[in-house]
Amino acid sequence: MSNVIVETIDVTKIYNRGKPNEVTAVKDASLQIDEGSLVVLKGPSGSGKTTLLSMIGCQTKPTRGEVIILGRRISKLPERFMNLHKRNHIGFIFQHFQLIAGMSVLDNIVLPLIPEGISPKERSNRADQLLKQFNLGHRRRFKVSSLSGGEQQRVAIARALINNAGILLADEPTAHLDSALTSDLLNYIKNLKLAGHTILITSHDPIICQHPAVDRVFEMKDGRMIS
Amino acid sequence: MISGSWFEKQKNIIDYSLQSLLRRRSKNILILIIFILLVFGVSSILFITGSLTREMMITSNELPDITVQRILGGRQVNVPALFIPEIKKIPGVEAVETRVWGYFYLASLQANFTIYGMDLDLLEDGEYRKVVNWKNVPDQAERNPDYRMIVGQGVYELLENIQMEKRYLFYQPSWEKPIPFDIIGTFKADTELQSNDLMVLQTEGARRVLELPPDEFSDLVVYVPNPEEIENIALKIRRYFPELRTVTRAQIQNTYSSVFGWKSAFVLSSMLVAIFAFLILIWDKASGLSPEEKREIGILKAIGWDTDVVLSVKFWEALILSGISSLAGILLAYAYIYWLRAPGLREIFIGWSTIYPSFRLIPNVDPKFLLLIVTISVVPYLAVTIFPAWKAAITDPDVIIRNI
Repeated sequence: MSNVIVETIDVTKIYNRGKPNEVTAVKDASLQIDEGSLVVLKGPSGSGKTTLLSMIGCQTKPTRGEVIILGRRISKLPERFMNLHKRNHIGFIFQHFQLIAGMSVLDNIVLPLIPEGISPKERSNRADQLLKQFNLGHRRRFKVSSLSGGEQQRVAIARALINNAGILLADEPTAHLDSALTSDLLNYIKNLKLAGHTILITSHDPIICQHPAVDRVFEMKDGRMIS
Repeated sequence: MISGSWFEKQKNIIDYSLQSLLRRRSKNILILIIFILLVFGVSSILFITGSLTREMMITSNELPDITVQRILGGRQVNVPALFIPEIKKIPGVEAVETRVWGYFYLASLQANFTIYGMDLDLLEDGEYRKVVNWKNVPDQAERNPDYRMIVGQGVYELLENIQMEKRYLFYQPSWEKPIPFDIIGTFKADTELQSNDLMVLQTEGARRVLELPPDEFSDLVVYVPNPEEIENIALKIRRYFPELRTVTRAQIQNTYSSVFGWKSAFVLSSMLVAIFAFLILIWDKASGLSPEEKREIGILKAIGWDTDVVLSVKFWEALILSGISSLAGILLAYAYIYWLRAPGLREIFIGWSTIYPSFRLIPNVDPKFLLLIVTISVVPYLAVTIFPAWKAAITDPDVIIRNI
């Protein structure tokens, strides 16, 4: 029997509520994601898929509705507990990677461990495993700004995995990659799925949506879930 | 995920703050330099004012209880001896002594010397013998006992330049001939603040140089054993003898305090431009974070950092920067005032003639000064750094990251 690990129930997100520039980014969106599955959320630009991903990734709270991760209604949690939940269970890969430019590859990867009080040695050990896994060992001390787009993408994935999160969320991960790098990325994602991670990707790239490792595709349009 | 100890967490946060400061090196170095200069300036003024005031207060403890001057036509004139027995009659007065003093302007050196008349034998034999470096005068017989003097170090150095360090010839154009004075000693360095431009002459010689008639004195000093009575007795002297003015020790101490306070306020006012520039700088910092800093806070929040951890980082950044600046500014000011003897500032605070005392100020660092410096530097800087960071940190990371 499948085990639902992520669920949204009639989730709505309204930005700038009550102001002239009020926008309803997501309206009554519901989905369920099984543990260990690879799911794609597709839709054109402005369809609300990044906003829905942000709500699942505890980056923002829904205006209405429920987000349930691992059985906890995280949308109702105070910030401190939501962050704790995020640090413990969710790894997020941002569309523009969101790495800190002046810092080294190693320092970027270990950032989520700093507030946990993990010692520098332990942080370094954990990062080294990921650097090896993503073939970045030789770039350990390089500033991220000096890396190629593909390398930055791998640093962002490594950072998302440093806390051993079971759920991995990726926002348009191939948006800035060429076809060769996209293929590499899909291999990494496939391997992560095989390692037991639950993965949710937003994308309108057909290469991702039609990839054989993908278990399910949800489609959004104008903030609504259409399939 | 297994969390580490609270101590390790704080260590990580401080470590991250240091890294963050180093990443924005050029901006922070600029703030550091301006901060150090400001703290250095303010500390220097507070240190020199504090030390001088303290020095003067200690010195003024040896001042007479009441100094009596005679004022005619709004200016100070000599006091005739006839006032002495009258003042002595006032109940509570223990003793009335006379003083002979004045100024002598030496045109060739463009310097004003303070001349004080006293019985030098008292200095040679009494407890004050140790404050003088006594010179060997070759032949006792050559000495005219009325024409002897002891001079301050500043005077001695000036006289050395004109080869008159052994015998100085006082002269005024209206005099028939110069009056030669043997220099029998110099005051030691630890009395330099008081003695630097001083010439202490044998009383009779001083009278000649100052052209003071017999039975007249520059002023009188009155000793009152009961400190509670000083103000009353001063009031009585003024009431009985309206042409006499009294100056009590407390009034002199207040004057010293307000003179240095005024000078300090004057110099601080001239630093207003620098203070204003610094305020603009911190206001600029307060009015918003740079897009880069906002983005960094957004990223940290997005990967799960709590608001209080972000604020801790900003707190440590501000504390490290302002703490180092304040400490460096205070230490530099200390070295400048107490080791280098405050070149540039010393002339403003202690110069009243052309002979500037070159004495070493005795350190007097009042904890209140340090608290004041911390209050006007570290605290506002902490506030202006943390407030915009707090504003950014309570915003959804989603909003911050999307907006940039």
